[in-house]
Amino acid sequence: MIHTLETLPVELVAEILSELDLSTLITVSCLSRRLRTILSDASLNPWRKPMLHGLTYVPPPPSTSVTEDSSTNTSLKNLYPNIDPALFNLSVRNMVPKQNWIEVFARAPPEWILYESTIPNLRDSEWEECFKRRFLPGWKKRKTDGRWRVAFTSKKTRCTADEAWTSYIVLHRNGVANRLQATSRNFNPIILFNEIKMQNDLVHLDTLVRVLVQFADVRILAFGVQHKPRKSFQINPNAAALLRGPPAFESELIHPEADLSPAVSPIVQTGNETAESESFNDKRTATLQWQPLRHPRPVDGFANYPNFTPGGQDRRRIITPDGLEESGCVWVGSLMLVAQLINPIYVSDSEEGLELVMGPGHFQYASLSWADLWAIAPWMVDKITKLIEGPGLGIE
Amino acid sequence: MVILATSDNEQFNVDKEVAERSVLIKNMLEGENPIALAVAFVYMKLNGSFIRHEDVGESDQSIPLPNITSPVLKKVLEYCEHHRGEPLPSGDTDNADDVRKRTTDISEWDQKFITVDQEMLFEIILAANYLDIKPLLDVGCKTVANMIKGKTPEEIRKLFNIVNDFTPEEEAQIKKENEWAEDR
Repeated sequence: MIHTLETLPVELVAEILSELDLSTLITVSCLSRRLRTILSDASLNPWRKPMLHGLTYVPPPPSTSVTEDSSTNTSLKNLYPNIDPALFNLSVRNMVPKQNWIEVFARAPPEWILYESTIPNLRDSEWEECFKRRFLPGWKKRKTDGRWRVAFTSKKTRCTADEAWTSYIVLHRNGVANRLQATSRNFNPIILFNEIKMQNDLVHLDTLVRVLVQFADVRILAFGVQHKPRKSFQINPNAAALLRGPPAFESELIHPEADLSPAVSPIVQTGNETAESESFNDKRTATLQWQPLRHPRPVDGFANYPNFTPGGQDRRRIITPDGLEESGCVWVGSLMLVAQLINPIYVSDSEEGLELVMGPGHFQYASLSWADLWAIAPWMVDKITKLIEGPGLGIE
Repeated sequence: MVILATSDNEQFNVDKEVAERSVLIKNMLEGENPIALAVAFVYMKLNGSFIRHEDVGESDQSIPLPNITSPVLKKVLEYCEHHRGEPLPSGDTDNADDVRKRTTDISEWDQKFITVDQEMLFEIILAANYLDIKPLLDVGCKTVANMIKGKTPEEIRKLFNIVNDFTPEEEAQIKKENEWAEDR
């Protein structure tokens, strides 16, 4: 039997088609009934990969753009150069399985979704999934009229004017966590953390800012200070536990005094996976031991979170080539967590330290709730000894 | 050494390391794939010989590959020989790197290797799928995809001998859908 493209098993044809770009895929759908049937099959779904590639689109050089979609005008291409023009109105084609839009909407730029794309007719449960994959769980409180689509689209604004007060979380070295608030109008995490440093008698130390994890619209910033303390009581074990991620915590030598360490277990668990504790460096090269976070879904630079993600964007923890962690320093005093809204025009992945909170486009923040903390760091449930709404030392 | 027997009754002596680029053969040798063992068992019985679990992979007993002809297996083994020792891909196809990979990501050697006539190309894809050699399957699929890219519908039909079997009504509907998508 002589094999041709059409006589291959449907799974293989779908595999081949999934390697195409969207414009070519649309062309192929017009070639024959069999190919169109394969393209319309939601279980084979050759659209997923091309649609996700369509969000990191690299325009072909003019000479090779034979099948370029003429549907999208030049101004839109200029506005969204990294989005495949064929993706703009793809939802009007019935053969594209609707489940693909959940992943697209979890990653695409908000303005593109709201103002440029043709939004498909998704079920409420699908909008719910879009919402959960994209936003922090604490943002569910905005679902006021019971419809997930409205909640999803209304959260895609960059304005914090709908929140008079912005909440942030402080992890203290005694194991207590406070959820504090400041007015949204002049919310400035540097000023807030300077106040905390003063309370901790750590004003003489430089403020360090790290991105704990980044999502499509928001990134979680951790403010803290490092030092080589003479006294072990200055060390904040929860700061290290949070920034190292779950697999590393137990075997770390961060707690010179045993009584400082909260109760630990040799086995850590998240989702349906279990992992033996081992060092962070081992984790960097080992296969993923923890189920990567999916609700909400981090950006590609943190794709493996809470595991380490290679590529340079995941700089939660600095380890020198000779294996020395944080240049031999440890986190001391309190660690402050804030949720910073991302404006892709101003924010870049290469920002470090105070660059993360300085300059235009860096002054919009959202409230951070306990639900958000448990979603991004579930292993901290066992580490934090007391949750306090508002100020307080947690002393009975 | 492992002996592989093709559908046209040719036998190939292959290093175990090379043969184990195929997940199917690897599992057979490790006795982890009961389905593959059952297929081999039936095949050997039909051919008048008997295969025991402990015989699979031993030098005097061949592994039957009834879906693959000798020219195709020769080509597949050439690929496996070149890529011996390389780490096998993980089963996770949902990671970000996989999604980011571009269609043009075919190494120079692989490109030269896969420059074959269309019939052989599809045979290699089928064999890679049967033997469960994911990197070879990727190379094959990407090569076909690259052949399709940048061509008009008529050029693609001609290249792959695809017959336009749409009824006039279906064609009109497709045309309408295209216009609807392009007008927006």
